Amino acid sequence: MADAIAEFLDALTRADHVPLLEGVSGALRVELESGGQTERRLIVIDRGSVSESRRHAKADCTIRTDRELFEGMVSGRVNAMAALLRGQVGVEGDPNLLLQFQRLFPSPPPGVNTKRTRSTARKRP
Amino acid sequence: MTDGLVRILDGNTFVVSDGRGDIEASPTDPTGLFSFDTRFLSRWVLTVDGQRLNALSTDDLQYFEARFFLVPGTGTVYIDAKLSVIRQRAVGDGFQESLTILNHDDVPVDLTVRIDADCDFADLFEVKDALKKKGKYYSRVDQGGLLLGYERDTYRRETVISSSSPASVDDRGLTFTVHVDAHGEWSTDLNVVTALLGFGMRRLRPKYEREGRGAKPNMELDLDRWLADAPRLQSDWEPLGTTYRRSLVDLAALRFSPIIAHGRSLPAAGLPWFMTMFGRDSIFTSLQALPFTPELAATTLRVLGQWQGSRVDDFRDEDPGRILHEMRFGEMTAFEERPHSPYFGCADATPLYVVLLDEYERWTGDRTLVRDLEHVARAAIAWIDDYADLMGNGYLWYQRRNEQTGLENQCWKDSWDSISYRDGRLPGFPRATCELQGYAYDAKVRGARLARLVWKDPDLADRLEKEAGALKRRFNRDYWVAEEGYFALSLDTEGKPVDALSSNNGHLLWSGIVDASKAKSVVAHLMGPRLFSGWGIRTLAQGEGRYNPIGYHVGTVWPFDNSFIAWGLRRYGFKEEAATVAAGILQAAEFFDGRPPEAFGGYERSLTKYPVQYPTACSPQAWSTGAPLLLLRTMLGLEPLEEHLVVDPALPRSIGRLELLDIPGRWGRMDAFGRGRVDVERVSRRRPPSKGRRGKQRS
Repeated sequence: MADAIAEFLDALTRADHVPLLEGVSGALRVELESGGQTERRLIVIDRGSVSESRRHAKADCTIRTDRELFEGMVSGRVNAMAALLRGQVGVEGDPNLLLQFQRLFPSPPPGVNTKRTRSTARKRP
Repeated sequence: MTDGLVRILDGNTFVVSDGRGDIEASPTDPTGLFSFDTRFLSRWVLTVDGQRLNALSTDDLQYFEARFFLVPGTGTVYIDAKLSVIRQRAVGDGFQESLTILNHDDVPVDLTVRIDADCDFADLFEVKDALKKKGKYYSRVDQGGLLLGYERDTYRRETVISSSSPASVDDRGLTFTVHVDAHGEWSTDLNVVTALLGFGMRRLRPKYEREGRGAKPNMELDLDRWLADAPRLQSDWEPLGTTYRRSLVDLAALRFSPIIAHGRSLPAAGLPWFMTMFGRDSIFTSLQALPFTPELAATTLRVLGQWQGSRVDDFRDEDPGRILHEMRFGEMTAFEERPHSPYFGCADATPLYVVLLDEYERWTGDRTLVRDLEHVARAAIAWIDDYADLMGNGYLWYQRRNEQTGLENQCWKDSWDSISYRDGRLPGFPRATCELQGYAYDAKVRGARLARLVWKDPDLADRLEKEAGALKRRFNRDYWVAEEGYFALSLDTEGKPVDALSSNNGHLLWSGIVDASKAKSVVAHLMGPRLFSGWGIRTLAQGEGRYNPIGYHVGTVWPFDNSFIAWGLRRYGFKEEAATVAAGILQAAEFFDGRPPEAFGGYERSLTKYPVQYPTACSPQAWSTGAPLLLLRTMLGLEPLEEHLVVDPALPRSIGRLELLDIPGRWGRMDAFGRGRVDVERVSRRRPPSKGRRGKQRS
């Protein structure tokens, strides 16, 4: 089964260096709820390099949300900050870590927001 | 305040009440307790034995604290009151109110004291636009207090009201049965706490961000320290001291501590609607305040860097590398009815970010921060070429992609009619206003300096310098309105100048993009009768098609605008002209008790004799608050030069002697002295005669 969350995290941990996390260090615990189960993942960021740990280590920031919603975030369909304000994400610890992490979520795919917007910007070649 | 309202605030929490301390908000009325862009109390009315109270006096003790002296009875009949009521209110995370009743009579009294409370949980955007709510309200008695709540799907906001004395609580308020002895007193503390509830009913932020159990802040000490840390000013011209102190206190009030800033603060844009992070306003204000409170710049840079755009999002007008325009926390933002989570639709904050970073290093020598933010600055510089050159011709353009709720004009003059040709026509989109090119030029010049000095990347430095030089050459060719001798307001999509004469020319001087050979002509226009009113430089020149002396960006005089223009005049060596602009704005500030408004009318000074304030709900406004600070810097000619502070004063004669002591910077602390020698009347008289095109004013 193609799991968007696993793919997203795998891509992060495979990368030698994640430029958007340059200057960011800390452990982010993501707690994903689905059908009464909670899946916990610990993402350790060390100045731009990302690794995942299954250990029950201490996190600097813990976020808890619905698994499906988080899947929407990693695929660009759900904006994490708006979801946070809507009360769909719980945060404990240093919220800056969540802020930095959510910047990795991709652009909304075509079709999202199109009602409200004109066209898609592009980087000039 | 002329409207009789009493405002106190702490960061983005503020309380607006009437002179009695009561709140009776209507859906469109900006009174209440507000926090995180949401109203948390819309009704808060005190009665004693069913009677409303009358204010004898109201004291704004500090920006975060007010005291109301009240007596029972209606205002029409004088009553020899046997009772006094004192409400002392301090805002924190919510607010705390100490309620005291004094019995002046020789006999004891039994009273029923009642606080009526209610809340509509309106989003600030709803208050501005009078929109309807989509969710449900609830209220209940909770642990001896009153809980008011609002719920829409997963979105929940609550207000909890409790008291230190026992009260009978119902879902509309708290009632106290009070016995006060002869010449005795009774008091209670009322606590109002706001909550943003997140997933699983967890609070989105700690209940109290500061120490202590109640909502009461302990900010007095903080304000004292803030004032003590700032340079001391002494001047023969007393109003300057008043204005300076007012600026520092207002700047303290406008400090806003985002959740992610670990208790450090940056300037929010203005009260009451703009107590939030704005890219442009926070950067301009930090620039103005750099010689006085450099820590504001450091926080602004850090926080805006953390929020830097990382993806293409049309709804939010976000691009990678772009610096945000505005952040909001209310219901409409949460449900994406507004794009402010955050919204990125502004074209100037990104180059200005690099300008501030460099200026900050020049003042403080803090290279650690410049190194920490290297990746942010590089991405910001890259945005200018990669995303903002919408026409592919080497200029910085803007056009919103969110056509419903995005901003049309993404420059500081952001009203719909601000960018026009001389004949009043509006150009199409995208637009490339001139000052944006100046900022882009300056960002590259300064980025090159940082690349060479701190990031040790001489290749980048070379490239940026080359690009800046090419931009300057192109700009001086394409934007120059040769027959008049000034720079056009913008280019249109056909590459033709949008040729109105505007104050933006002054920002061009500040940026350094103006060819030295053109500066004299530009200055003559800025100081000429079409732009200079005698108080300051108008946003748009008299005689232009859309000129209106009370039009928001088409004829009014903005103190913020003028402070940067004065800096620009100094940069090109026009010291006396800079002093003349400074004198005008500072003299105008005197009419507003040292608090320059956002804007005032562009009427000729000799006509009105006093500056006519533009009607606005936003006061104090951060970059108006910062304007006197930048004007002080400009008049004293303060300029960091390596490890030294250069002082080269050119002061208006009316100021007399001016001392600014203990100016912080990489040199430690230094003093600056100056004596007023510039005859501003003479500079004003030097103004060339108007070249026609008058009498076409719209009003």
